[in-house]
Amino acid sequence: MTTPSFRDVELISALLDGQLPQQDVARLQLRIAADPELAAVYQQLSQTRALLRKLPTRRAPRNFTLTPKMAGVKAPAPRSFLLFRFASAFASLLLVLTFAANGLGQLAANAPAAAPAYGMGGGPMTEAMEVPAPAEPRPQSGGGGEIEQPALSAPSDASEDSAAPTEESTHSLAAEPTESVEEIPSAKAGEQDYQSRQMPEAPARKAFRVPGWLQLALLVTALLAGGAAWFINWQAQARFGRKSKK
Amino acid sequence: MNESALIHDAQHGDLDAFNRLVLAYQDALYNTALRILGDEERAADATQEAFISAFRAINSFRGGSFKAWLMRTVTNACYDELRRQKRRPTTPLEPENDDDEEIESPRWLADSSMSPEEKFEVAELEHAIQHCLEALPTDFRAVVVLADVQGMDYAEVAAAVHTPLGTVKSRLARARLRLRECLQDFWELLPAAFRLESEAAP
Repeated sequence: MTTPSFRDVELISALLDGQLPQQDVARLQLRIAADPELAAVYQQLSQTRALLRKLPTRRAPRNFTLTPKMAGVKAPAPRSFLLFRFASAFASLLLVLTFAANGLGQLAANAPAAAPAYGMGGGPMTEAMEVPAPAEPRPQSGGGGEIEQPALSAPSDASEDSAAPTEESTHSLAAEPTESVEEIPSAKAGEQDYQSRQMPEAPARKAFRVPGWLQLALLVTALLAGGAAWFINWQAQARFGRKSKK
Repeated sequence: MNESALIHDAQHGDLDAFNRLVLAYQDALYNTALRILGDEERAADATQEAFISAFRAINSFRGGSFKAWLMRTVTNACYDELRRQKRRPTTPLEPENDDDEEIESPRWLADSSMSPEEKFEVAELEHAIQHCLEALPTDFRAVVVLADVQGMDYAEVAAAVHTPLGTVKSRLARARLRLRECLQDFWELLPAAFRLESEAAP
């Protein structure tokens, strides 16, 4: 007979719970049967264990179910809410874009007309546009800035006037072609070609503008869709709140 | 109840599914908290805290025993409550009536199927065991409550208290020894039905 060690107490405790490996069970049972001290420990532990298991089970004093607020859960957004919210945002974006487009169109209309450069480069060609074609065709070899000012000083109306007679003379002289006569049309044609390229008609520019009715429609759409989205979300939250209180 | 399906739904934010799990386990969690804390109000608070924590952390549940996982949340809540309790004044363990007197047989013990004598015996037993449980260190108390009061196996207890299996065995054996010594003092006071009972000898 020996005083049981704590290891023995552990083994007996595990035996009572059926948590002892099978090979140890038979060996321990033999020892308990042979040793009154171990048998006493076994008896005491089994009594204690049985007593603890007799402890009455209480019913929960209330339900511990969670409300959405306790759980930090928000009402799920209905699909229609997402749709209306998107529609409102999209209409608002388009509305802003129409204002931006109108602003840019106005700026472009107010800006001085820029001349097409045709590879001749730079500011001096702007002046060239304001004057008629030169009396003689000139080589189109770049460097617009180098064109002599006096040759370009005639008004554009004059050039138009001079063009008509030139055409007539071309027809009248066509019957008796001479070298000199042949030179004239070609010279005039060159001049016209020059004019048509260097002096395009400057039509009065009209500023681009998004129609007001379209902007109004976008504004109304944005407001209505936004309002509908808010109302749907408010309804969903209220319904969710009522449900969670039940 | 398909527990796996409910857990799956709860992990996807379904509060109704989680609440069905709450209804299934609330008695077990409340009793565990009550035996560890020894106070109804605090046990209820700890149980509620445990369920809130469990819902927020349910995505961390990776399978295994859901009961053990819930028990872990409630033991943690109880440890937190005990730490708070140390910093605050204590309240009586037994409920009080309007005259500030302890209620001998509180209404929660009322059970129409028991005779007055039986109710008295159960109340005596519960009082004795609760007294001895509260004399145990907190870690021992949690293990013995989970194993002997809740009837969980060692693996579940180990998972619940986040402790190795060997430590659970050791703590449980020590806790039972201490409880045995403590209950000896009550032995004569305990009703005959609860005295000298033992399981069949091996």
